[in-house]
Amino acid sequence: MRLFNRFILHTPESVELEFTLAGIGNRAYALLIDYIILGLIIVVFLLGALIFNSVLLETIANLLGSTNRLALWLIAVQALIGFFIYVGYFVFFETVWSGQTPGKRYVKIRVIRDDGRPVRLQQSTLRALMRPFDDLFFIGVFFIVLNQREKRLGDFVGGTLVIQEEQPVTTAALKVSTSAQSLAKKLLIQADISSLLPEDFAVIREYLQRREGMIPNARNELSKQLATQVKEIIGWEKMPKKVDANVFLEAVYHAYQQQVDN
Amino acid sequence: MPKKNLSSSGQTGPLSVGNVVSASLRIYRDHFKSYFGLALVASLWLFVPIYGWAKSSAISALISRLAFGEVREKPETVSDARRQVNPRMWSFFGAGILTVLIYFGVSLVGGIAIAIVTGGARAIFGQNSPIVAVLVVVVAVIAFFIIYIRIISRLLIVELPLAIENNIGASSAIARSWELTKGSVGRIQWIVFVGILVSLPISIVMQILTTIVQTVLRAVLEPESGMFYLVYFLLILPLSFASGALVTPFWQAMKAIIYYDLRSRKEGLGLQMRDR
Repeated sequence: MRLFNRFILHTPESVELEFTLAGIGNRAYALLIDYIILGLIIVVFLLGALIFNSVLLETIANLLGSTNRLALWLIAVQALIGFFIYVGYFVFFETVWSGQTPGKRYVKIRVIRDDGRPVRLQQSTLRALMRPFDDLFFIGVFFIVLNQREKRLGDFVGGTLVIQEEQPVTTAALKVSTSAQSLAKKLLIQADISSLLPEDFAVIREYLQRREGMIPNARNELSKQLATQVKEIIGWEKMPKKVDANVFLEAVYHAYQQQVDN
Repeated sequence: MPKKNLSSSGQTGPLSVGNVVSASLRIYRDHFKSYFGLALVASLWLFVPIYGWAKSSAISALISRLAFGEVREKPETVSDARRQVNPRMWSFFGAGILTVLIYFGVSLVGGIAIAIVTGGARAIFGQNSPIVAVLVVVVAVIAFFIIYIRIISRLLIVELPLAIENNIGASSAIARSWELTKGSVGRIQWIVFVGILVSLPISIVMQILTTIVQTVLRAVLEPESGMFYLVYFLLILPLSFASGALVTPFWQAMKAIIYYDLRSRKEGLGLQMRDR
């Protein structure tokens, strides 16, 4: 799929791993979510710091009579803590969740090292420290968009990549109705299920998985279309009129699975 | 293991929010010269009233149609696509007018509603708790904006059915856009938001360029002189023109991919058995 950058990794064991890189859209989205959460944390911290400061300064003023440069010290320390929160948010989550922050988790992307191994503290810290450069003036965006492996400054320094998480297609989730199951038994005998190629089976499965979200009219039309095409492929002429296209497709799906299992 | 954004049937299939944005950028980059050129022509046509505006909207829709072909992996040549799109030029114009009228109507109704709410709030709360009155008005204004943006999101892809489907007129395209976007408004808004974020760097760069040119001009030439204005005109105008045309294809491609994604989810577009 040339719309998304791929990255092929050759492990020392001569295994080829193929990753799809996250892409600027996903990364921007994840960063947006992360900044919103981080923003809330910082706001809470600032409020707490404000209250702490005023209370402390008042008490010290009462005790000692003046506060001298205490206020400046407090602000300096708190600014430093703020910076640590900013960097620490990303470092903590990327280390503990193996390359994901809450934003990345939601968007289903993940940080990994160049050699495919999960990120550790060192890489995550380097990445996060470069973040002020990447996020200011959107320098990181230019880097990600303009290079083949979508690395921003932090990725170059930390030796990391950001990939999309692969979602294994769970066939167990598909429920086949009982009428389809009985039809499947008939199909296995009467029709030529073996002439169904794996790609055809994939299309049927995809339809069955996606049909819930479809507009009813379109779904009915599509199911009839697919059913007609499938009928031709498996050479089953005598489909009784009352069989619903959806049930038929479920039956073919079930029959194919059974045939593969045998 | 089949990958999420490459469906097992080998086609693109439904896309996540981030992937829609990445894909639009990718398609635009792959065909930069062609799309940018079209966008420049479209912005030039805007100078001609009525006929030019219709022509301009047709060219923008052309870009969307081309992008749609790309994401479907059934690309069209520019001339083929143009042949399909140009006859419908006035439909695009009509659809544009209709959407503007809808926005105008919504603003009118919204304005009246806010005025009523303001009056009512002042009458009820004005004396005792003016703060509550202000809050009520603020809530009303925010609610209006949310509704307004929601309507914009629902009507976002009006050009697409016109450009791609057959036997569609301006009003049925609006209905189609409304129908297809049902239930996906949140997702569309996120996509647009992320798109704005991603296109922000380019806008910033163009701003910086324009400011640099302005400063240099001011330093080199005498301000307020005829020469100054002339060179200003010759340099700044094309620059702002180009920056507008630079971003347009990105958004046109994005609308096309949103349209593709919605049709993929709602109508199973692309789910076909392989040709034997």
